[in-house]
Amino acid sequence: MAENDVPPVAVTHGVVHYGDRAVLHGVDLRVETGQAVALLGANGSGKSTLIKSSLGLVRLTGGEAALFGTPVPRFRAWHRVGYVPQRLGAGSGVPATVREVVSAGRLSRRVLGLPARKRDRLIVERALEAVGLADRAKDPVTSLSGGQQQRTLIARALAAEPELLVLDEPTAGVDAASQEALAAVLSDRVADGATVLLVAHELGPLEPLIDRAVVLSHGRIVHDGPVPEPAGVHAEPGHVHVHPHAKEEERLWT
Amino acid sequence: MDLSIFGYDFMMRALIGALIIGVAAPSVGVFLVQKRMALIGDGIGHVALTGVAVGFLMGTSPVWTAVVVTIVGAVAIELIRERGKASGDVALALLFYGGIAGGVVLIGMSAGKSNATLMSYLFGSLVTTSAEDLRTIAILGALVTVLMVVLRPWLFAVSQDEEYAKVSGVPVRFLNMLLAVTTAVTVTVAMRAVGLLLISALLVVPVATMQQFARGFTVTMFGAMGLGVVAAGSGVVVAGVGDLPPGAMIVLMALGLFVLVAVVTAVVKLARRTLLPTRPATVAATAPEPLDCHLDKAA
Repeated sequence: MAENDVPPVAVTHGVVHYGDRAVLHGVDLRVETGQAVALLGANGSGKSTLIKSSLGLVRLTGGEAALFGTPVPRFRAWHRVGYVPQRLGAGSGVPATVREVVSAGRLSRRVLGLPARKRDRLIVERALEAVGLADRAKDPVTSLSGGQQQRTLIARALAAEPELLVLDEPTAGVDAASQEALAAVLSDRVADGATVLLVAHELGPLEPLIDRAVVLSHGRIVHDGPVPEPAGVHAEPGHVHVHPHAKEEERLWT
Repeated sequence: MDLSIFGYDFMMRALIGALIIGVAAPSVGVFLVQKRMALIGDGIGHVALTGVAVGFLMGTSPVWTAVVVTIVGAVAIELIRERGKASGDVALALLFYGGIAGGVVLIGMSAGKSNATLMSYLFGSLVTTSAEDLRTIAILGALVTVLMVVLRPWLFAVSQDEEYAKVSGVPVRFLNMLLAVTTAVTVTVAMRAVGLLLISALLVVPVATMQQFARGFTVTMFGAMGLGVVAAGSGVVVAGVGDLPPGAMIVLMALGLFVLVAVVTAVVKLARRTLLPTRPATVAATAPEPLDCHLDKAA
């Protein structure tokens, strides 16, 4: 941090409205280089909106978002960012292989209209291996399980060789094996000095690698620090439930 | 089969023109299908009629006025889609009726143009392709095909997951516009062959045929281009021998291939199921996982 003061992610007084409804009320989020930050909170707390606005996918109606010190509208170095959306884009019926989807992640390093170089293909293969899908490379993505599809999306983000990984609910609806694979890949990236920002409902096997938790509630940050202990938070008024009890959480927040 | 009719130049021009369109149309169509805009070709085809009518009125080549008018129409649709102001099908409806009505009225205003002329644009008039027409078809067809093949990875990314493409630094807006313009050009070029009312068939049907069994995008794209050639070639030959309308024959051939592939894949699937009753590995890989119980409402 000392030699690099520019934060990979910085949202300052971020405000987002969907129609008339405010979803984020002036949120400040700064993620330092090398940090692994989890955004926690219930459904509708604004955590997905916050990471999407940090990438410019949701327009801020107030405040500012910057990536690596550059305001997002002027940011061009997208190869430094690896984004993992919640799910694979809606399938249209045109089949695509796992390798084809993962290769799309390499485009941020390729020149428009020029063929892929040897190195591009090598990195794509490595990304496939990292998530344990090398043997499924030629299969249609729609033939994979939910967890394997999630791993495909992570491989796609890795193909850019990013310094910053932004993941939207990477553990939601994912089987245990895929969660473990995800945790292994992420701790590998963190060990390499990458910055990680992820949204989660429950951390599960990711918990050991997270060194800071930011909890959102109703569009405001209510906690910023170590991963909260479920029991302690439970005791506080206006607590936010962040521990893996999906069933209970549903009752609380929907 | 009496193929002597292909000794005439006009028939050879018809065949070559059809083959070029057969390759070019599915190369664009595969991206339209992926974006769930399979019927956009139809909407643009209707707009092209207005373009053709403008050409008649001005006494210039209808093909070029149609190119200009369809490009304007396609860009307008893309802008509407991008802003999310009107849903895709409403935008299409506006185009369908505006394009046809405008075209018919304008053709009515131009002197000395009969219904026969109108029909030749609505359903194609391949055998009247002149040497100059063929040159236009060849240049534009090659341009479209080369662009689609060279930009395939980028267009794939944009059509498959536009949000992700944006954060990969892919020029999403430029590529969407390019696709809109390319669709417009393809429709105008192909109106000589299959006619404006049947144009979407050549964009979409070969892609739909490949979708039934292909496992990847690249295979689907090149396979569809191959099927487009087969449909166009066989359609013109059958039409020439049997003295039938070539445009409609090409479309019927494409549909015939679709049905054939549907039957074959169904038979293969059935055979696999009966011959290999249990395949535990496959079953495990495709076993449904619990769906997410809730979508993040803010997302």
